[in-house]
Amino acid sequence: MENIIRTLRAEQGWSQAALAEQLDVSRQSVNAIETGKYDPSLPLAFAIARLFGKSIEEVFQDPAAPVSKAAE
Amino acid sequence: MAHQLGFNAAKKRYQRLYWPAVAAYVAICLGGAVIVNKDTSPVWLTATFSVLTAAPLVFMMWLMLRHSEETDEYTRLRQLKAFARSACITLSAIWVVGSFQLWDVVPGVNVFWFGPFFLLVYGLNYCADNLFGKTV
Repeated sequence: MENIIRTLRAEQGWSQAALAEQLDVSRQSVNAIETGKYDPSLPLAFAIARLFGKSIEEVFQDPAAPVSKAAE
Repeated sequence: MAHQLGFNAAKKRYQRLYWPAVAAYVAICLGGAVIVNKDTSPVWLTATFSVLTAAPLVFMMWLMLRHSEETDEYTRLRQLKAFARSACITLSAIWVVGSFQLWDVVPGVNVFWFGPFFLLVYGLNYCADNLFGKTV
């Protein structure tokens, strides 16, 4: 699953450690999610989206999802 | 099953008990080396120190499992994967060495050493996940 967490984090000026602290996960967790090595559970995905004031769909994108006509 | 506390709280709870357990293990090992003589000490004394030596190690294994249950989901996934892999490798090693012993190919091997072997393989597996490959 692709995501824009790295971009959102950079906009806030947060380090991976700072984001990890706020989510109460390890820094390695944040790195793994950002690099696509690990897909978070729904509760964690909701917590990430909530932290950035966005919806889950805005933060995480399903690469297998069909491209909508509007996007085309 | 213990409920999830989050990475920081779980780490604190783990370390609060881990270091005293290590200190107890070292103290018991040193005490045993001074007090127990394999050739002259009575069986009850050597047996007592055997149990005392193993107790902190057993406690630390329980501590590892409790930490896995309480920490964040990604850390838990990595720990349990490493635990499963190292258990498979250690059991395989036990069966191979055990088969050798069964057919008297190798003389007695101290079972004790499979414990440190397990922890070594666990540590290597845990680090390997950090360095290679996609987790999920």
